Amino acid sequence: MLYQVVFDDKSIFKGGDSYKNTNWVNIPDKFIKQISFALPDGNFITLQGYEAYNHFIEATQDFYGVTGKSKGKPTIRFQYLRGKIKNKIISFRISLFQTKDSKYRIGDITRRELEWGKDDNGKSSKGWKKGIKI
Amino acid sequence: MATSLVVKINSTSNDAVDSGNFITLDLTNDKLIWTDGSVAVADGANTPSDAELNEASPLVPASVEYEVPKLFLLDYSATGQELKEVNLAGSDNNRYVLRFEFDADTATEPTLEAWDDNDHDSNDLYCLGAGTGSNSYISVVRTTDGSPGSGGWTGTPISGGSNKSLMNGGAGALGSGSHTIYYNVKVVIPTGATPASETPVITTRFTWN
Repeated sequence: MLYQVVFDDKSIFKGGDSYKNTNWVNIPDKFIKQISFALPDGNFITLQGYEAYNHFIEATQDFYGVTGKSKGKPTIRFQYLRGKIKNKIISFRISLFQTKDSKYRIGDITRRELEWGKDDNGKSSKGWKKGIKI
Repeated sequence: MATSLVVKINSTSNDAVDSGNFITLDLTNDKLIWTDGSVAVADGANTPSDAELNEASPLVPASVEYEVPKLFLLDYSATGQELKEVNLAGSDNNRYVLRFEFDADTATEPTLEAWDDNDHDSNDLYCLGAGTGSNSYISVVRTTDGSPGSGGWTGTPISGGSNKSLMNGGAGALGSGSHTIYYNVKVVIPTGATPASETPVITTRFTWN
């Protein structure tokens, strides 16, 4: 399981059997109270109290100068968890890939604050689910 | 499900979308080679040696920047005639050179990037502008919606996280369904460049929910 959603009506949705099959799009359209996401070390990070939630996986496909572990294959790099609060997005980026020289190690979490509606190069990312009633 | 990507290249002189023009890159074994070309480094030739590639390498220009004139696909599976010239690549007004096929939507806008290596966390190579991304020798132009323009296109220098090309033209994430995106690419060496043999990584970054 990649994550567990607890809805405002206390029902639960368990999602995702892998980073390639997150099942995020099939989360029921109900108000979300909290979501717990699995971390690479087996622990969980819980987001709660946000107005909206998003989750996506980032991969890269090298096609020139292809070397090392990513040779010939798409490589899953990061998992992003995002929560909206007022006009801000709190973004947690969890590293899922490393080489011996990588700046970030698997499981490292990078927290950033972004402007709502502009978290993707000035546009909004897709896939937001509604959180607490506002 | 995860969105998947197939990268193809047009090794014909036919600037058209016809699927028969494109070869799917074997990302494990195929290579791209920017070069001046020579008898040994030519269309239809077999895999060149390092010495042959060295002899065909471009020189640092003395007074005017220099566009590397030839791009070859080293097609690993074409035994004995591995080199295929990518005639349409470069600053001429050609549209259908690189083809990126996404089979589904994305959560964010895909980007085309260049890095020192597959750690994707530095752009210190000379050919990537030695840390100043806007000085990258590698430029791309998105041609999905039209030709890049006659008289030589400028495009976007790609290098590191700050100098990248938005593959949906800045319109954000890819919508539902499959998507085909086209690019042209060129390598231009500035005057006073530091001679070097470098192997940057060009990559596509994409997401899914």
